[in-house]
Amino acid sequence: MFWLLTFSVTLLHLMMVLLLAPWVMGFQKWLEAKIQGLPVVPFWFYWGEIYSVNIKRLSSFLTITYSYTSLLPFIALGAAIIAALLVPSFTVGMVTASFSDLLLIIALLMMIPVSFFLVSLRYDSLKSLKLLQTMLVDNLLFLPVLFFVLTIIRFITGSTFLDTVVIFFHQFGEFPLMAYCPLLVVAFSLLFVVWDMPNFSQREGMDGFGGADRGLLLYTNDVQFLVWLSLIALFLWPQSLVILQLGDHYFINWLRAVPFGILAWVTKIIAECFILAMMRSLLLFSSGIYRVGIAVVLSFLAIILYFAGLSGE
Amino acid sequence: MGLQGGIAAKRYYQGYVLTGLENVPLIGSSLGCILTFIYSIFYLSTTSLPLPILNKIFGFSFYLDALNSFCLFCLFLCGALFVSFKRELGASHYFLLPYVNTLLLLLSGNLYFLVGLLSILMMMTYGLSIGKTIIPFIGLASLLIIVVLLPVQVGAQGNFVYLPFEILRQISFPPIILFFVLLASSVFMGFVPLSQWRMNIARQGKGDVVYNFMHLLLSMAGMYLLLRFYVDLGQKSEALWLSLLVTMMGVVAACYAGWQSLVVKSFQERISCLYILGNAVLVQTVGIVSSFMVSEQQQWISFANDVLYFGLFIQFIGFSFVFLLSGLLKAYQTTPSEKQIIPSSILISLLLLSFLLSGFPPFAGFAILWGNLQLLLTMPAGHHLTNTLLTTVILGLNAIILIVSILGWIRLILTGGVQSLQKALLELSDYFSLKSFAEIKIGIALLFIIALIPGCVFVLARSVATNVMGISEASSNFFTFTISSSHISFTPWLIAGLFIGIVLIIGWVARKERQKAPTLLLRESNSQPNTNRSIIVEETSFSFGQASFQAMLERRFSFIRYFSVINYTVCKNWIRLKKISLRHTHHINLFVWQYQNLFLLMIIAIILVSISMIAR
Repeated sequence: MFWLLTFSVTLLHLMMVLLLAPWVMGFQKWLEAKIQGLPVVPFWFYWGEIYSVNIKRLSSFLTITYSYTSLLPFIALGAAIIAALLVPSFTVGMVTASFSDLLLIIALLMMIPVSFFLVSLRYDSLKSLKLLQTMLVDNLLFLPVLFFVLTIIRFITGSTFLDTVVIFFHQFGEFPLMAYCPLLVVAFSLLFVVWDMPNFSQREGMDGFGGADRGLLLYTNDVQFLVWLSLIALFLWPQSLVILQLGDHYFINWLRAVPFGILAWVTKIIAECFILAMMRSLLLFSSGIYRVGIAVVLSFLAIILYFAGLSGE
Repeated sequence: MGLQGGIAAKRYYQGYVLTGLENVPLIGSSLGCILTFIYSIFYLSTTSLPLPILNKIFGFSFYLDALNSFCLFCLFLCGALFVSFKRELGASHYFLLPYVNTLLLLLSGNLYFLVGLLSILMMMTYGLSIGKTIIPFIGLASLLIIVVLLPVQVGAQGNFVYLPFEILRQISFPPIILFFVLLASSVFMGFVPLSQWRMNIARQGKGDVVYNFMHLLLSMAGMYLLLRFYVDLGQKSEALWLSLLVTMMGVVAACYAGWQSLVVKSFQERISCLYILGNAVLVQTVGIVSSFMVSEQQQWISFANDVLYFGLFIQFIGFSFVFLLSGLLKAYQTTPSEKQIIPSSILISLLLLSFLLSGFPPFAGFAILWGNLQLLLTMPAGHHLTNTLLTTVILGLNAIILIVSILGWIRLILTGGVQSLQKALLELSDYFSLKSFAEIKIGIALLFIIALIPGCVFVLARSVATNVMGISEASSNFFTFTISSSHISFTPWLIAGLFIGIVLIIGWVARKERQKAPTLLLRESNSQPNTNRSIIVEETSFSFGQASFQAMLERRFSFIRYFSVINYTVCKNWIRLKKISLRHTHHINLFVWQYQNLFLLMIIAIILVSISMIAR
């Protein structure tokens, strides 16, 4: 019975993430355009816009013959969906809790650009190959940052699992400042990782981009973006997540806290979109390598902050 | 070597598999495989065999324990693979000489025999390479220093003793001996001169399969030396900093090799670089294992052992497939008339092996990386700042290793050109259906199964842990990497199953929806009558495309349309509100435009203040 509950909660979480992914991306773009003063489609039209534009042009790609390689974009989507299953949004204690190793999540999310790159091998266009190659390298360069994040999480909570992070911060009544500060810095360094993701669909004008799988690639990118944002949201305020445990008393408490958890999640996502839009409009780091450098420095600063906190106790 | 004669003889000689003299190496290798497998599985006791007269004169003695037998199993498997593909590769029997040498080396029972065979192997490589370098002599010198210094440690000064492993096991080594062992084994694995050694092997050989096999044997010998002296014999020595040195050596060499794999141009050189990278990652694991042995955390030692031997097995067998495939590719390039080899299937096999060996999540490369990282994160016990910062630096370097290994593998499979890979991917459906290349396909499939169920290798590796290391508490889970005390687990097969399940479900739904979806056929040619339209539609819309995906989404999420009613009422009122407020909008806009810098600064200040408020 408890298993069924956790399963249904997992399903709810997954449905929420998969449904909201294009809207969050649309919201992010809308916000950014509003800040920069550019004309933009309202974000509630984004769902329609992304999947219905240029059908006429794209249907000409449908003449590609069937082969196993058409499974490649589905592999990317599968990786994104599994990552979405592993990153908790509003509650912990889902069915997939025993897998939610941060290292595995990082690897799954890094698999997406690699499979995008392999997808581009299906098309004749070298431009899309170049684009996806650039995206791949840009993403891979952030791996040191992610490993530093992993280290910090391990130092603070003694485990690399995301559930333990939430449980660790729930055990303290107040914010444990010295544990929370490095986490906040880490969350900000992760915002640099998602910096370039909204650009993905703006390159749609390029010749032969995505081909027949374009809609699928865009959707995968949206899901990936929302999963990253959920991960950052978890680090920003881990106490807002609800803990689902076995037992009647816990269940009643969980039921009470769930609306707050969902509300907090939505609020955090919106706040992150706002911060990201501000960063993208105002900080002038056009080249990717500067962003990587700043993120590395920030995540290393988090480690130093952690040790400073240890000495202060 | 009578190469011409051999070719001539091959033309007229057709023997049976079991009686032919030509097949002796193959039969011997497979038999050795089976025997070492039996030895490892049944936890047989340690055996030493001093030959009666030869031991007294030359010091020939043999020794077999679980570590030996594990390495021998890998060696026999690689040897059997190479020997069975000898004819396709166009190799002579010459490469059996270093093979037998390495075989004796792994079986040798005392120090002098071991060092003598190592130096023969090193001189053989020196003779094969054209550009003479000083590097083999560094290795030889360090071997000589070991031979000279070790009897001093035992107390038999000036006395010519053979020092069998039973005696070596009772003494603790000084750090200088362990340092020179590290130096010698890094020369064997190609870490010390970093570029020159690899260039010797790859450039002078020009991708000849003999040189590749030589590379495999040399690194196997080096790894055996390191394992024997650090993990087995070095248990008593108290030099913790040496294990850190091994770890740093592995990490730095891996970074350098990965960087070189991006720099070099030829296919063979890239493969050698990636092979050195994989070996260096495992050397890092050896260093971690030996540092854990000092701290005596039983569970973590057994976990580290599992990761190490799993990695060794996958590394050696996987790369012998890679080397084989590269040799076949070269054989095809030199004689393109042969129809039996299909280059696209070679490329696809390489692609699959790259998935296996680089760091993709459920597969072996990622499992090794995962284990390494978990072990590294456990190492800083007690929060010592210097220790932890060093570990953090090693972690960062590991991230760089992952980057360069993924990029290096991608560059490797793109070496044949994007066009050929695109062609190969289009012929992917033939890969599984054609019968040619069946051995390699079966081998790769078995490797994938082993990578997903690591318990298959642990059958072999656990005897090493119990017999050699003396660990009683070996983890007994066949399907996962796990440490029960810390709730750390990694289940490759379950993740792969989840993955395949999700992909299949999406694919099935897409296929179902594609059949229902309205077809958008642009190219309705006038020449063809429209009678069999449905067939055309079936054929042309046979890929999971944009239109079908959109149609699927529309169907699945059609309930969103019900929200449009609510949306309408909300929007109507919103527009009314907007109209009202529009009278004042231009004032606000003007105001914002006038003081835009001030506004931006204020927003940043508000964010900073709120962050500081939360942090407090």
